Amino acid sequence: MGLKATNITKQFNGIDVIKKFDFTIDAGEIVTLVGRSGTGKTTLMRLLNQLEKADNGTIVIDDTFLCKENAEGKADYVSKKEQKTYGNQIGMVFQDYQLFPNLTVIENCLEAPLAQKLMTKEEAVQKAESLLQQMGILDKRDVYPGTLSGGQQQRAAIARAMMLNPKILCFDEPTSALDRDTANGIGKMIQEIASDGTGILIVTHDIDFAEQYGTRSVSSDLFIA
Amino acid sequence: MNLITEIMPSLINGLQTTLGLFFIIVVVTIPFGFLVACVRVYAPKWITWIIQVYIYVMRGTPLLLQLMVVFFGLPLVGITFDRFAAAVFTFIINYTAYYAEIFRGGILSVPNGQFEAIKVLGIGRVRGFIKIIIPQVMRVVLPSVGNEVISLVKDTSLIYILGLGELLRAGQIAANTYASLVPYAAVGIIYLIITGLVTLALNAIEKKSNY
Repeated sequence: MGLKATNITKQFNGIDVIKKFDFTIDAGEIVTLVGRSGTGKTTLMRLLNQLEKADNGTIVIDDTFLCKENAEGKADYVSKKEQKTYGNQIGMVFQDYQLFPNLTVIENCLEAPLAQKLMTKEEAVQKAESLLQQMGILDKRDVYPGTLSGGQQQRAAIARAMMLNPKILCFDEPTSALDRDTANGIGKMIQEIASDGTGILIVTHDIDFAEQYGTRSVSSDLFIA
Repeated sequence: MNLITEIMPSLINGLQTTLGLFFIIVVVTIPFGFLVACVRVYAPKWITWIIQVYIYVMRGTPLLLQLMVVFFGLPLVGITFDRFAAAVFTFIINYTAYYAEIFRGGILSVPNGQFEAIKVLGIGRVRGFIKIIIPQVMRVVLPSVGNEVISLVKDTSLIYILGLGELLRAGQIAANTYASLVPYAAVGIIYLIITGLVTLALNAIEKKSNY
């Protein structure tokens, strides 16, 4: 079980960025997506996270579909409500974290589950504190993200994404702004998350990081075969 | 000193008109400006084009001319305002245009990634906009909004053209009556006090919106 994307095609201005590409992330594995700039790595991640729409293909996590290929091969998206259900199965940590600067670290974590009414406030606070503890930044719970270092922001962003218990967690260039030691700390954190059964997708230029922490590597050169 | 006590009642009278207009315009135009900015950023192109023309006209012509057109010009086509209503109407359409541009800049300054994070986390567009985007916009626009608010204090003097007895006009009449510069000095000091208080209030708001 995990994420399965089949026959995915995405064009920008009539040019194929991804063409008839099949891709899976199993529970507990760490898939690294490597390749040159401009080859569509981030585009694939954005498709999986509903920030772009696929032109063709099927995307499903376990039994929850985002889109299904119809008879003409086009990607038919499910209803808005079902898309939301799918959205909660997958989380994303942005390259520049995109923490909300006007909310404290814990408020950043609480916002999504409370907005979606998935937990009571007490439950959400408890979960957020335990995640922040796991990330080693519980002492930063009440500070604004602007005062955190890059590595701490990354951890806060991971905690925020983990609040919804995603089955798949995606990282866009997680090490691009970190020194080697901090990057290794994040790598170990990612391994720990995967060991609980979460499937991980990492888009990265950092071949060393991919080799060290990935369990399987996919090259974006295969996007247009 | 005698002169000051003598002219004070008329200056206070003028001050009431000035402050009345000032408060109405601040309270109405800041939310209006924000709404127009949202429409300009998110609406279909043809609507944004209309808004652009409106903003161009409001910013491209003197406020004094706009006051004259509304009060003296519109009656020619059958639309009549009383003096104060004409002043309020003109200041609203003028200042809304300026605020709309300021807020538009504020909205555009929020990184697209913030909107994407709201989407990915399923926070919902309305809640996300209110709780996450607007506070960031406010922080960016506050200094410029403050500038406009202070300009407004001084611009209210333009309504003398409609024959309204605001602060500057009251001072001018007193200066003519007593053949003295003291009323002008008094008026200047009153303007400085008002802008000083407004600056303090704006500083407090800016401090509060800091994160």
